Amino acid sequence: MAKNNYDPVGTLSIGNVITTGTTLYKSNFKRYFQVSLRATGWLIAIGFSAVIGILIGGVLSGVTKSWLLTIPLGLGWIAIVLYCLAKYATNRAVICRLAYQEIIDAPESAEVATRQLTPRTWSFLRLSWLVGFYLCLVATISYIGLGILVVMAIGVAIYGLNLSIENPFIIVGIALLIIGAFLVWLVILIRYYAYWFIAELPLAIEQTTSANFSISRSNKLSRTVTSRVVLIITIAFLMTLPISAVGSVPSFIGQIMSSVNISGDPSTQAIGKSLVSLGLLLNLLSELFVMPFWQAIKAIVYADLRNRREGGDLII
Amino acid sequence: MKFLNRVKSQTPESVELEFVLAGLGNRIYALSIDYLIWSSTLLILLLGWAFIISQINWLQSEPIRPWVSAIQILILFGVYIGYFIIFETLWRGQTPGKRYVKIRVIREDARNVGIQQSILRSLLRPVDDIFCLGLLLILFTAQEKRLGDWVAGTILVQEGQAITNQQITLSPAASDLAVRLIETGKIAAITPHEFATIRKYLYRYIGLDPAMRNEVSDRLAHQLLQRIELENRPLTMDSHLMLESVYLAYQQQFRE
Repeated sequence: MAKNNYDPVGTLSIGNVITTGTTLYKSNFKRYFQVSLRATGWLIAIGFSAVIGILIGGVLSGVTKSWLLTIPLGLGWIAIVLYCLAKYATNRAVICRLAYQEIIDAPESAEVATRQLTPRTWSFLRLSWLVGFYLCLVATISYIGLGILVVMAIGVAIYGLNLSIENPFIIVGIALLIIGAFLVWLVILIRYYAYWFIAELPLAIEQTTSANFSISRSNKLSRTVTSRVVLIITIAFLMTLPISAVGSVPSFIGQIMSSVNISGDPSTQAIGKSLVSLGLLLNLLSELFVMPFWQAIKAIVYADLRNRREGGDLII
Repeated sequence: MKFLNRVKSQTPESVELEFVLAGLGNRIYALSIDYLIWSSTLLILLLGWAFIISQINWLQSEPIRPWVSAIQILILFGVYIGYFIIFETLWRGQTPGKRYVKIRVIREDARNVGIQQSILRSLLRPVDDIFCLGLLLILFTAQEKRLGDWVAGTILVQEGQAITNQQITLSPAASDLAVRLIETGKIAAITPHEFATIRKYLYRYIGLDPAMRNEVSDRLAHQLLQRIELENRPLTMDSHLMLESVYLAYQQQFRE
């Protein structure tokens, strides 16, 4: 039987990273989905705790006629929210670990993986906050920077070169400039997202409990191959778009209906609001299905980058 | 690569071939590139056509106008449907996107696709795109076929990748050493699998983290020297150079 040499390099191409992700998720659907269900459960618990907190607060202030009791109640609620978020982040990381162990041919059960990662629960919360904070910082700074550049360019064109604002070419030019600046902003954001894309993995796999170490390691691994990671993220995003967009459509329509109040009709607003909550529910549901796929992709990218950068698979 | 699906197909000459299926990731990657090229071609054509009409007066006269619109619609339809048909037929199952991603459409019996298969695949493309039907079919069928592939009897496979010596940079000193290694007569102890690992190492050497390079080459060289019973190599010799020369020696050992 003739057989082609498909794998002379031993690393994964961009498309094969995605395909491996889908295969991994498909063959482990039940295990990953159970963990995803658990993770989403912690998110829903935040909502429940808010409702219960408001009820208790209402009853207490009704009985005691004082608002002082709401302070410890509020603090307690914040602690509960933090705990739920930390649990959510840890369960997400459990899927990463399960996928990575499967790739390196040392599969683990969900129980074992959870037991391994539970001591690092608070590090995972810290990690998700740090990454979120860094990304917000990058987004804000680059947004302001690009905004200043665009305004300066328009200013130079109109006042410096004395071009009329009514000139149709100038209007088209300004529109193109703004679209271009927006695309540049998007590219900057995705690039930085790519640097920290696999930040959960070192914390989930390696012998460390430091969120900072995990983030800098993710940065170091993806630094030289950022464009590859960017492309992987883009293709995975395109692939999951049909599922992720399901919830966005009703919430978008609902937001327009409830905010732009044309007729002042209360029933329109009510429908709009219920559409927004339907969208929220659908978003939660799609996240439930899509999240394990993303976590699997992260694990594969991490494994592949380690092979590329550290040659761990090169053994005779 | 154990996570990629494989398929065996029998050629008309009863030769059995095994292929790695293209997989959803490569297909979406290729399709994104194709749609990008295809939509920008359509945009440029539309803008160009509008520009031409605005510049030439007699094209805007009453009896000519319906003809101009008809030609415009024909061109658009031609590009819309023709892009995939023309490329897949002329480039033997590849479009620019597929070529870049290194995948190819072939018939189930491993022959090249013809115009008939390309037309069927192209005509069913809109159906596959609706509600992501094609995506679901590729995801959940063993041979990863969308509707167009079922009807046309085609599959998408990955192209084998060849590594040549040009893609691996070898130092000049390696060839002298290779000759000496062949003279020891112990190179034959290396298995093809071990050779493949050395080739992977050399191919990926540049991409390795500089801080890790020495560690990897020392480890590999140590394991290899044990295999060919040359543990007492000269201490001055660099591990990387050693691996380069083993690579060359293995390739050249049976040449004469």
